[in-house]
Amino acid sequence: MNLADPLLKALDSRRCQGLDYVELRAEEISQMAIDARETGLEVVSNRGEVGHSARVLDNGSWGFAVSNRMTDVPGTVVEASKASSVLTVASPTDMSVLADMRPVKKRFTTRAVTPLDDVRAEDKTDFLKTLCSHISASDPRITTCKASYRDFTGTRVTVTSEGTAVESEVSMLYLMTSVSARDSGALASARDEIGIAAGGWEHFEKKDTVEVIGDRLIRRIRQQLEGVPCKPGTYPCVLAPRVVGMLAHEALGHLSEADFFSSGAFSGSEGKKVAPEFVTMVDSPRLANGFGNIQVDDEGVIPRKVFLIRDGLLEDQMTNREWATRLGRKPTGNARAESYRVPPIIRMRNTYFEPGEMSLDELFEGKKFGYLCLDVRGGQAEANSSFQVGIQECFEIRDGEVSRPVRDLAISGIAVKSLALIDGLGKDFGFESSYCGKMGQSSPTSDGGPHMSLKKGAIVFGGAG
Amino acid sequence: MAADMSQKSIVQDTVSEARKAARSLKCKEYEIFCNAVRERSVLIERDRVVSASSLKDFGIFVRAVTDGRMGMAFTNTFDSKHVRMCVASALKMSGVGDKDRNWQGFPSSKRSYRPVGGVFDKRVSSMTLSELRSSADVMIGSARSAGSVSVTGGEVEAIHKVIAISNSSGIEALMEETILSADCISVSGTGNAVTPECMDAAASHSKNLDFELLGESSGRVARLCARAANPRTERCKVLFSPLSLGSSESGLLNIVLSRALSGEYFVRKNSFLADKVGKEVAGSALSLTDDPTIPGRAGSRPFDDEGLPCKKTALVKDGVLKGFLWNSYFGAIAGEDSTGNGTRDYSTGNLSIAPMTLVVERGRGDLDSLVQQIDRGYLVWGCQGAHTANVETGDFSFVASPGLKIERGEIVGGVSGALVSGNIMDLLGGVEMVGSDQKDFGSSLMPSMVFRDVRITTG
Repeated sequence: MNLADPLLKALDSRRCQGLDYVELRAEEISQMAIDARETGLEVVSNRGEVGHSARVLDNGSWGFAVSNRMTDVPGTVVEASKASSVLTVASPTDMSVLADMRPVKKRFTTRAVTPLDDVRAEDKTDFLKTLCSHISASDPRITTCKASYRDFTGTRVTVTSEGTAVESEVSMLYLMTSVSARDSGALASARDEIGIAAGGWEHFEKKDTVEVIGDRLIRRIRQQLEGVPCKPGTYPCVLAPRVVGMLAHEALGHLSEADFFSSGAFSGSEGKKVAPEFVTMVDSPRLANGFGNIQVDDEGVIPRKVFLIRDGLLEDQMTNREWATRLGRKPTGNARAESYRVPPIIRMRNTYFEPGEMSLDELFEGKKFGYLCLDVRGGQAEANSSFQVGIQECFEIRDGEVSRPVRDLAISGIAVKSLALIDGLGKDFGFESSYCGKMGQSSPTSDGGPHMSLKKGAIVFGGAG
Repeated sequence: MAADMSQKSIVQDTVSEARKAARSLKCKEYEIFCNAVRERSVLIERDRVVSASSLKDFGIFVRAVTDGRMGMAFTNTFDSKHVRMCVASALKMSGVGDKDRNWQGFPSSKRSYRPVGGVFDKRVSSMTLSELRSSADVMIGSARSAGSVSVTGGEVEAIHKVIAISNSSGIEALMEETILSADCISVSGTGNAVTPECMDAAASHSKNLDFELLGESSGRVARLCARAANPRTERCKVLFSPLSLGSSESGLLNIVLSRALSGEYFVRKNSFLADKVGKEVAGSALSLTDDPTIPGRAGSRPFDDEGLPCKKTALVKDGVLKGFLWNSYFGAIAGEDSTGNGTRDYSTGNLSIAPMTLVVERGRGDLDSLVQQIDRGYLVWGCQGAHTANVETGDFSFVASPGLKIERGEIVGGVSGALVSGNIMDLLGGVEMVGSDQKDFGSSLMPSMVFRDVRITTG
């Protein structure tokens, strides 16, 4: 039986009659998980999961229910309907209303050259074991290396009472490799993340090979071991694309999600200048090899690129259908759900600064002392636009030149102030891929941009010292 | 959410079905972990409850071992056919795995687990969505009661969970628990004058959660933050709230010590505490245990995810490191008995090690009285970016958010962008006072604590 059939049948049943809006989502996903170390395989796991959820909007209130019994979709609709009935809407402005959209009926496929299901488990484990061995053998100071691989294949379906019926083929992969080292009692660790939203095993054959991933990590761990402590304070700096991406994500990205925007620090700044005129920042559903790529969002909306900052002016926000109504705009296709178990919420996809016109030499010019931050270790945003980003690869800048490596540190700032202190954007472009957490859900995203120069006062540096 | 027998019987029947399948597939070494969950929750946004949800979930993890090679599988479909397929899949995966020379078999238990009182409350399992909404309304009302505060987020959730574990070495374990949890997020001000999100959270097995207090606490911090104070780069005393130390998502001590005290990190030589047993690792004011045996505490439970009895384990006594936490696998490698800290990864089914409930022994005085004893310093209410701490080295650098400045024993206002950094060993070495205000987050029971000579960096 097709995964969509029980959903479509339930939509036709009397359970759905009289409800303002019903959205049914189902998934059938297989996950292959392998954890390898230099000593051998630790986890070889196969996970099969099927389930569905119903989201009901009735009298302006949302109800949501989840079940893994595909034989009882109408029962789940009843549960969701009951849930919505316990809420009361005090005023018409509090009512949830969905923006209009033309129903979408389409099957979305992926273009995997080497489909993940066609690759033998033994070939996947060999790749990971070779990767760990390659890294471990590279430096006697390395104590452990772990490669955690996950791939997800299957189907996701969304049908709605408005006539939308979309089916998406899933072929996603994620690899996190982490390495630890010890030298004369000093401990160090570094990690590397790779995420492909829609693709196959060819990624590891052509782009991120054992040597490419291994060499990245070996370089990072050596820099950690040999690095000097960070000098706490604020300095002029150059941020590389992966860090610029995290800045885009944490400094403005989260606060440009419409549900966060109204209570955030940029509220009231629409149309106003928040950065120099050469700065443009977007959230896009498409980026070559982006982990945040989507062809349709989880409300069935065909997604579009959103200009969050255009030419220095704060322009648009990311929305779902409900928030599009509140703002009087068209939905942007940012409603994403981690799985059928949770309702879609407003999430970023691929968030990045557009490249500028400066060369790397120009970005470093005039910096007597500062920092070059190359790679990240997660981050977090706050309503008042405070951002914090962990940095796992960093160098001092002395007299405009890259100098000594720096150990683990974190950078922070207040975005309202920091964005105005950007003083240069490179011509290049790059991004990082990872999972972003919001309201208990994690979502694959990519974040990037060109090299960026910032004046003293924009970024505060702090480390263990 | 009726506390129905069907949930328990489904779990028991499925385990029995999986055992039969394992035997018929000639699987000699196996472990079955099965859980069923019923969850109801309401979500808060913009000063009101905006959605209500209910979830019925089920899952079975199978670990199968063939000739020292382990394979794992999961399914959430509990008919006989899928359960058998899940066991067969775990067996197939074991053919792909490497032979593990450290493998000594699934654990058996010399002593059976003892029930822990107060982990199941019928009143929680039968809570309706209307009751949850009313509780959330109380929390919102309390946060906003003194004005100038908006509740931007939060959740109230009631969970009824049944877990059963069976393995080929004779472990048979079954438990039923309820968890009621809530969090409330408040801000004050608007636009570029808005405060950080001021959260408070709590969890309980029983219905005795004080929603009014939770809302009041969140709203109070937001109001205190609304008055801006200027932080400066300095070294000074810092008071950490229970939330900033004990929350599982953003609590600094919980995040760093969960890994550093794990026997797995010890065996792999990745813990900065590995060579410090019997040595001072903190000021004498600090005593720390892992204790999931306290009746009624949110993290309490009778057995771990391997089915081994949970127990109280001394970790730090008067500042001296006493030991680590173990599951059966890493314990066997290190020559230690399991401390009942086997924890399952719900994505892969693999077993690792984590505290059940980290308990910092209570000291004297609540948060307000600790504030009064600080002449100049800061109160860290939340740690923005605590998850970016390096758990292997203990280095951390986070933003005090919300952070508040203390002068002459009084909170004078909120600070923005104050970066707090250092190494956890130095921080613990400087612990000066421990409060009596232990707060229950489930994964920890944590009081407020004052540390001296903490580095603050500002822009």
